[in-house]
Amino acid sequence: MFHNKLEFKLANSEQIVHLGSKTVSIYASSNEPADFSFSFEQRHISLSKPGDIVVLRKGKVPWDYIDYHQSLIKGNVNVIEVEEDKKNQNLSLPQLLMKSLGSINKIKKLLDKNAVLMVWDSTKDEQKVSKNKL
Amino acid sequence: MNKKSPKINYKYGHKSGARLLAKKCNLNIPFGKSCSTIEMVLKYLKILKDTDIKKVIIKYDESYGGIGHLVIEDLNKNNGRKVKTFLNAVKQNLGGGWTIEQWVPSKKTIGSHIEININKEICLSYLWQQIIDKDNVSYNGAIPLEISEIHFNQLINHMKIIADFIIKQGGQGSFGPDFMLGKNGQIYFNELNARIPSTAFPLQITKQIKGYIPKGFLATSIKTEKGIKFKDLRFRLEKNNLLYPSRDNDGLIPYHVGQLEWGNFYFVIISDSQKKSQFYYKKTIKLFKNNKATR
Repeated sequence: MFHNKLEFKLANSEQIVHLGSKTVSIYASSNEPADFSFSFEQRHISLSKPGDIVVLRKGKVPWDYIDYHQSLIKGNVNVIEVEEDKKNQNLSLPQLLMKSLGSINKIKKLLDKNAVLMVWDSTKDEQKVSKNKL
Repeated sequence: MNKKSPKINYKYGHKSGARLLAKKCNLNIPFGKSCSTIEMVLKYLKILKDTDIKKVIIKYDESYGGIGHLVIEDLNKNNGRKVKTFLNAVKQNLGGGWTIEQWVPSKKTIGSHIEININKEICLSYLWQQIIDKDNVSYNGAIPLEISEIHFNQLINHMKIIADFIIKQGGQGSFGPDFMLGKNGQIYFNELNARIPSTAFPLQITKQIKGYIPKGFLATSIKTEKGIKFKDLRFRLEKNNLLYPSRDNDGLIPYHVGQLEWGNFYFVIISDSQKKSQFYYKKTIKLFKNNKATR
């Protein structure tokens, strides 16, 4: 007997950022630093849908892979690359995004104004969500 | 390591924690004991020698994908040196903490995925069958689950019990309880992965692309040359009509491609036929040089 009637709801735990009425999913594997996230970020690109906004560390995901994925989903994903340097390479992607105002402004332009950015701070407690007014 | 539910992970996200969780949730687990020191392990093995139990497995508390396990085929044989070497190596490289369990012959090993959101709503996401290596321990991939309706309902019930327990502990996020269907027909709880199980990703990729999980779903990884670029990989797959969508509108989708740098090639095969997905798998193995399975 083959069972596939169960549904997967990625949004429950991985939908990290909410901006106003729209949603931005930061496909990050919580706070895995450096090269570990390199692979995870590419894995999460595989889950994005047309119109999704995916925040990635700059240069970590080859564009030919993103192109292949977009051909599969028959649509475009909005990829925002976050700068990373030696000083912040051990930060999680949400932490990096918090520090990267340029990227937040990019998101803001794409979505609603006066939005509230909620970043899942996975390093502290499972029930703690931090809020930052943009 | 789970980063979303550190408290749950700390207490229940390892082998001895799984025994504790099983006890609290009244779930069926193989006979055994958790030991924090090498001396405790050796002492317990001596005690087991005087029982009917012949075959046991020693699991390192933090093992992943079957790595860090030792199977003792016959307790009556002199296993002393082998066991001590194993325990010392684990202690030196990884730290202590083991669980010793009676070996229960397995018919199917089963993975599952539970999501609990901030409103304490439970989503029983997926159940699948794990592909286990010839050593009967190491994890090598996933295929659709084929079990009876009775066992399926039992598993759903177990997942609900575990999810309710996690909520009572204040946990939320993704969790991956592993189970086993023994040859004796009983369902056993194996462990709680307090994180998104890795198989959830190829399942979701497949669902998104195909709209459903086909019968020939197969998620696995193989060892290939280190540092191969995605464009080269894609070229070779396309040339051999393996890349999804192939001419027959099925085929293989690479994912987790950052791991290519280390020579780990993760892919999911999407096909409505198990025979066809086996064909794709074998052809992919032949095509890439270092075809040793990875985890």
